[in-house]
Amino acid sequence: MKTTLDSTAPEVDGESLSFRRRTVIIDGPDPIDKYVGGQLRLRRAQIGMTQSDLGSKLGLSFQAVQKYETGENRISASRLYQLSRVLDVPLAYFFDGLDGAGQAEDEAVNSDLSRKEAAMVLGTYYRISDPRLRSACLLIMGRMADRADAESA
Amino acid sequence: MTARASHSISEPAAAIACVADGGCSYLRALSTIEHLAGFEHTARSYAAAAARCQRNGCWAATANGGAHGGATLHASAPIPLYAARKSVLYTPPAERMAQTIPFVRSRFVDFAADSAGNYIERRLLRLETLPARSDPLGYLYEYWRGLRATTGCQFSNVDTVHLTRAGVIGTLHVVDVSSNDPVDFRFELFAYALPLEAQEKPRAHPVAIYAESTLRDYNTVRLTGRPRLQRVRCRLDDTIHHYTRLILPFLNEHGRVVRLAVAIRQEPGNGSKIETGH
Repeated sequence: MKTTLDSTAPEVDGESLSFRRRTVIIDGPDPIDKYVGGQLRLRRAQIGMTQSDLGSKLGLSFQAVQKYETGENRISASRLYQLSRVLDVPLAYFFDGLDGAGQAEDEAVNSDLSRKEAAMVLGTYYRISDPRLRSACLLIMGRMADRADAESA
Repeated sequence: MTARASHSISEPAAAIACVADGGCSYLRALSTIEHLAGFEHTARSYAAAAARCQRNGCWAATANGGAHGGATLHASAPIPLYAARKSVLYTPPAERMAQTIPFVRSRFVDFAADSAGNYIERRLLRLETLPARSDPLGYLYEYWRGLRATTGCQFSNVDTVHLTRAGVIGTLHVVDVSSNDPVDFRFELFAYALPLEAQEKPRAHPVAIYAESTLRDYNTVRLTGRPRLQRVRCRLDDTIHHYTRLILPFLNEHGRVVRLAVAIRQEPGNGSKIETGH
């Protein structure tokens, strides 16, 4: 069994379940880090505190606070605790509504994938120059879809 | 305080007046700025608060103590942001009233007029003449200078709390100048508290000389990457406009100016109509 460092992108490989390590440079900020950063920014704005004000309370530069807010830097557990004290919110505040947000993001990704797949199917279909072969392909795809429907019923 | 919107919960609508400059418009402007800065989460939250505001009553009244208009409001919006309490028209602080304000007159005056009686006088001012913190434009300029010195001066570096502290929400345009052709410049955020008709593009202004001069100023800042401070006095379609304009450039990751923040301080007489006697 392989061990993992990041939990957002599981990849099943035979018997082992592995997680690909995300990097900010390649993958962009982790959606969960972005969400927590967004909650931080929102709360800070609610109480009228600037990034510099918050940074000085935590012994950080305002750039560091900015990186927390964009999700570029991850917030450690101890820092999150400090933030909850300074911003006067419970720890759970930073994760409020996260499930719904994650679901929406998954749906968006899925719909995006399906759009790409549809484009690939169409592209391949029109690359077949023989109209009879194209009709045959349609027939096969139709039959397969009917069979899948029948099996699910 | 200008009442720009009225909302009702259980009281009659007439009894409740929005006490914020802009009310929901203020939240929507914040939402747009957050969106442009790339913070979708906060942008959505502000937009949702504005929508709730419309349904349940104004959040700003509660934020300001709920004592305005004589009605008790029960705004359910969970964002107790303070609304801009200053008058839209700038008034100097009391301690400065009796002082001499250093005003360096510029020799660079640009004047344009057309046959319909419209005219524009633009006078370039020195940025050093802005008061450091006691003035909306001065505060904003100092903040921008700090950003330029310590960050990449991108719009994503903007902290909206500083904009609210400066008191420029409502009188701030954000302009997309990523195109090389000034004709394609467009407003991403149009200041809602100005006596100007909202436009999608600067070139769409009905008075051609005004559109042209505005585009020229925006393009100058885009090309030079240097901020610009101007006093503008003009007559457009029987309305006098008198304001001070600060144009600040923001860069993309390649160091190119792609966005401008245009803050406007309204001066006495701005927006006044001219009686033509016809």
